[in-house]
Amino acid sequence: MTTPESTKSDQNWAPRTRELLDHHAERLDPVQSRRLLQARQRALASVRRPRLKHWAFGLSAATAASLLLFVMLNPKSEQSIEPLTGIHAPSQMTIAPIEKTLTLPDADLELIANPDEYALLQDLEFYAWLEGTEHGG
Amino acid sequence: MSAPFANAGNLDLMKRDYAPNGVATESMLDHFLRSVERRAFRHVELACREREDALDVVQDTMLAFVRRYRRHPGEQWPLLFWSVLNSKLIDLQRRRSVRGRWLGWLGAGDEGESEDAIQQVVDDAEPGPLVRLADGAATEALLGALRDLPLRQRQAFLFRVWEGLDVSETARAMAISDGSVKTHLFRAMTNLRARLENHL
Repeated sequence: MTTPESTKSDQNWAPRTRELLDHHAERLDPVQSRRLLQARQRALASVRRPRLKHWAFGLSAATAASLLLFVMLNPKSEQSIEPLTGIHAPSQMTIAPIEKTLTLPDADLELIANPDEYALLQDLEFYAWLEGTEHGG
Repeated sequence: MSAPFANAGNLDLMKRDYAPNGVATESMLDHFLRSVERRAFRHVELACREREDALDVVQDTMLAFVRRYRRHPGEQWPLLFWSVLNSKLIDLQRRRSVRGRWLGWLGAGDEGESEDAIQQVVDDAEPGPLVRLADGAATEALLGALRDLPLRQRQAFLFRVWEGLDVSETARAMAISDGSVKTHLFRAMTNLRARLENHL
């Protein structure tokens, strides 16, 4: 099928083809040359930047999901904590009812309710002086 | 009947010497990419005919090559680069094929396509008065003939003849067997010879 002449002809033809294609490749206009330069610089810059690995995203997401699941499944976890042995911890760690926590002495209530008194309360210098005179007297 | 180029796989082609040796550095990568980028662009342009697409493919190829293979020995870079380019080119062809099917289904797309293709064949980089007219005409004829080849025939020809990869390297770059490379190459050269014997 193959003749020596055709193979010889191919040997002459191939370098000529390559030469023409090389010249064609070199004749790029400035716009395309600049775009290729930018593409090359972008490619080289991509390996300079430290890139956050995919596994870091996965790990963060898994940790967040685990924490969320833990909180959802243990809504009263603070009540189930047992006091450590040998340490004098309060016998009951429950939070006091809000009514008791927010109970104020009558005198304090009057102080806050009265606008004049409240303005005085905000004056820290006056408050310090008042405390000093009470202790001094 | 003679079968020209049947021994295309045995062509004694000069290998390009642009593969760096030693430990890869950024300047070596830059030098290598600079040495191939223009040919890569023309290579893709022959297949996709649109310069924006060709630039995108070359940029994607550079990015993928640098990220995946920059630590490989420099001697392997040419083969790896052309392998990535081939893969990106096939991806582009697939996307276009799917898009073409959808546009065809919607009743659009083919209208005026042949006219656009002919317009794209004309190169903006017109040979100037100092460029030999014979070379300009031969180049245009060659580019036209290459554009008309099926993708694999064109790839086999360009890798083997233009880039100087041997049959085995061309097969690896194209992810096909050595025998398939020889077949594609033979057909490509038969087609080209028939069209170009008056020009080259």
